[in-house]
Amino acid sequence: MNKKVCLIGNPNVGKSSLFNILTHKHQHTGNWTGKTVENEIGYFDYKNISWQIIDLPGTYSLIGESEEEKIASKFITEKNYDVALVVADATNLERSLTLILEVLDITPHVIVALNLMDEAKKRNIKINVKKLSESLFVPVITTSMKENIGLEELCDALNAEKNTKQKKITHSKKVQNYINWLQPKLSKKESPGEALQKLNNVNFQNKLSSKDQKIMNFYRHYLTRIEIMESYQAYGKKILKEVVNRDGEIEKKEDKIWNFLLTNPKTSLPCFLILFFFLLFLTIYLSNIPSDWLFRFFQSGESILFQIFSFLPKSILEPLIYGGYRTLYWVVSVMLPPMMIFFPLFSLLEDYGLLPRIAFNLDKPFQACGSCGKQSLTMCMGLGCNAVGVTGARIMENKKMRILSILTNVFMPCNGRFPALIAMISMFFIQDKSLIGSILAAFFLLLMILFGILITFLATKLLNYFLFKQDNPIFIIELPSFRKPKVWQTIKNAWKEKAFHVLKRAMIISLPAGLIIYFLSNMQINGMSIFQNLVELLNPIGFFFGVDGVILLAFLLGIPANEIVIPILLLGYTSSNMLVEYESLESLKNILVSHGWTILTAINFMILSICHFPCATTILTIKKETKSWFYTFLAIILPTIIGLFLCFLLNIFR
Amino acid sequence: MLKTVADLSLSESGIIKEIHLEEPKYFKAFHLGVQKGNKITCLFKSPFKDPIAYKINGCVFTLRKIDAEKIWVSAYE
Repeated sequence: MNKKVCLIGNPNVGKSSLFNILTHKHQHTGNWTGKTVENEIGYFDYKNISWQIIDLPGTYSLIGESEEEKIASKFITEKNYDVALVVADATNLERSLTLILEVLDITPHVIVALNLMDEAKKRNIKINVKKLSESLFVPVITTSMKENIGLEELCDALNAEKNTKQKKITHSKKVQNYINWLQPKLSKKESPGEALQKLNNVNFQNKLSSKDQKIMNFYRHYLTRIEIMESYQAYGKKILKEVVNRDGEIEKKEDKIWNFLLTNPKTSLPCFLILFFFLLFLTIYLSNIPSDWLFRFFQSGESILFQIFSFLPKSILEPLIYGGYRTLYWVVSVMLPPMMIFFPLFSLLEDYGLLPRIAFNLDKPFQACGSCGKQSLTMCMGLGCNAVGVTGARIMENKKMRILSILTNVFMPCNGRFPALIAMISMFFIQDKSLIGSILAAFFLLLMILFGILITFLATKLLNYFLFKQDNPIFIIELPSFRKPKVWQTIKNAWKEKAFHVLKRAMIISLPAGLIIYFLSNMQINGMSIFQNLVELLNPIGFFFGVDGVILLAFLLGIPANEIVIPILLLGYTSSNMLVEYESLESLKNILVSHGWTILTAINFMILSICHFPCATTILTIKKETKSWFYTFLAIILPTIIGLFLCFLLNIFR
Repeated sequence: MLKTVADLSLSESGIIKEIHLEEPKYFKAFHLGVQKGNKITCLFKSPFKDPIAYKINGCVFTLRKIDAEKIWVSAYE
């Protein structure tokens, strides 16, 4: 038998965790509001019933106006499911209860999962679950995702659900008047909650008679959303009085210490900087060795591959190995280790609840630029992948701030550019690979990221000044309490996700790109390779900006994926003599230096690496998210101009 | 005597009496507990003194100063 269940609940109460546990999926969960922005679908079987499970974005109510809230309320109102599983927060039942009541006002097929019970117990909040279940007429199952408690009971309740009795919620007089007026005009199946949903539904209003439209218009101004919420709230309060007892509530100790350090005005910013620095240091220090190791391993594979495929003609084998395979293994050995260290650690901090605190601390500077602290969250996502950061900009409250964070996201060096920066730093600035060298390198990388942040501020301010006139900033976010993450599971998930991501992209982008570049650099026109022809064309332009044609061409050819920029550089420089063997990552420097690279070239390269057009995936995502060619064009042109301008400035003072 | 939550000193509490926030800010704040009759506590401030973190019903959230000045509370004993 096939059945559908949807997960609905306030943001950050563990819906995604429940979803992952039930479906054995590894959708990343984070301890902050707005992690899930789209419906996620999964499947699981329990005792002869196959369930399809839909994870809706977190929402506080069904009459909200943000994108995610609309997605969730539309799904609930359409009733295309067998059970609505409301995930409630035991530490803040006051808030969860209004949503439960709203859902109950629409459908009787409801089960409540009272999550974070362990947390509530720790804080000594007493909840009478039996009483709650009795007053709501639906099963209430206490769960704790962290300790996998209550899952079986939850599944049993799902399988057994066949409630048909609609719960009658007593509304305030004003709300009830409206419902009484509208309900006769609706079909019998439609519940009071749906009548309330219709209040702001334009399509529905157009179907009414002109007289009713006038009355509807009246109600729209007369009955505010707040009053509707207050009506649910008032009803909920009566229930809560007998269910929740907060008299003995205590604050968690770790919350106190962390809150003191991370939100104390004097210590918070230094604390975040030190934390981030430490993160970068570990990434650099720990990834040196596996990087070299992978490099040597793949390199020794070259000759083995030659032997195995010796039956192929040289004209096919050489492009495959010198072009495809070399690009592939360079990308993998340079990208994989830092990603495998940085992202698990970053996810741990994220799960712990750090990101909203960064947003809180940085709100003021963002405010001065016309945006809000939440932009720093999209920037953190951008560190992983700019396309994700662009999609993540949906958490911004209004269109203006959303566009601002989309257009400036590229200034955060993503996954594909991050290792290139590390490689540049260790080649040209800090060759020492000891502990001290790593500390210096991490410091250098931190400076580069701070540079990216500074450019983000400036660009945001600039865009805000020229593009937007109206100003209606909202910055009201929740600071979730610190939660101890499931350490091993988080690391494992991040590894799986990142390893898969890096390897997949290496296969589908770097391998073919390597082949194309090989051909470009080996096919001759006018006695020079095509690649060389293009380089000659770009050389005079590059001269203005302190770089050469190869670098410019590498960025241009790197549009499909930023991670192939450095391989293109190398292939470009070594194309005249493909037999150059790179003994180790360090010997790359000699190749670059022999082609006229100086420290200034390296700096220019790093600036351009941070400030240039986004990769193809990101450009497409920007088009999709903004639905505007203008903004897409702007997102391409703005960082490029800024990057070239900065290089130009540096070059004047050479 | 009423005062705004922006005037609350650290770890001082008040009972919310009046809310002059406009939509959609009010709607958002409402769900975090900014409702008449609730007890609100000022927890800490950001390094730039703005925004400020408050607590209602165990939920910690942030308000910018200009918004905090629109919420009026009476003293809490």
